[in-house]
Amino acid sequence: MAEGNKAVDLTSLSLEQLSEVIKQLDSELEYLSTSYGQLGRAQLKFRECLANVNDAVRAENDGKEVLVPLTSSLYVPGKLNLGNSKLLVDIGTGYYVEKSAGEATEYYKRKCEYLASSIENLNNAIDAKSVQIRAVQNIMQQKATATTAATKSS
Amino acid sequence: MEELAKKYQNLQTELSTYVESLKKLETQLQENTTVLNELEKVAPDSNIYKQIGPTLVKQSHEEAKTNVKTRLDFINKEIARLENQTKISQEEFSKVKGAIIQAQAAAAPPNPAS
Repeated sequence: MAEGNKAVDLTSLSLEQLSEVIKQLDSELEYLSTSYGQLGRAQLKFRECLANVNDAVRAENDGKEVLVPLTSSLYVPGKLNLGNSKLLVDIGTGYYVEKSAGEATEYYKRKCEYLASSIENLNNAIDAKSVQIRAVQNIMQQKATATTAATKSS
Repeated sequence: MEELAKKYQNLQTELSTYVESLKKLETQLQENTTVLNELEKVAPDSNIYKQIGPTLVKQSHEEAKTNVKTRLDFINKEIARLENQTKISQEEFSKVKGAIIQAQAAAAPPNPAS
């Protein structure tokens, strides 16, 4: 799509152009921060799933009475049948796969690890973007100071 | 000049719409790729269900994979189409921008000799 990024000497830009650059970088940083939050929430969800699998699928829970939600305010009594210990795991886009407790645990662990590495990469990108913003702000500060000094001397 | 400014604004809106659509498609591409990878890991005799409304309907492993592959194919084509549209719009946008700069330069009063 783009024809390759060309390096631009920031000191050669005017204050107006620099403020446009800041605006652009700010919007990019905002997008990255939003993504960071979303990934964090997704990781939390998978961790909860992992904890639920470990809590529910235990031999001592077999045959236990539970209340099953039909809606957010309507529950019906039921019994846990852990005879075959098969769980339905949501793998995305409306697909569910039957897995054993061990397979489900492995799946959620894998998801958590993948998200952890994505979060780390995103964190690095956010740091780099913040450094860029500070650099542009410094140049703007210098330019503004130079302009003020030039105005005073004339 | 007014016409150029209107065209410039329209193209700007068009471009941002394309960018938003591309973002959504990239997300869908990522999600469907993840699902396909997951289906590849699953044993062929596994029970797979597809959510249709509030119900889960059983599907064969092969059918599920074919469906996801078809969807991926469609998403990739849609991304290619949108990228092409974006490229055309960007070229048009650059032309209009150039025309505006020229018009502004022409409209500006000539500098009096100092």
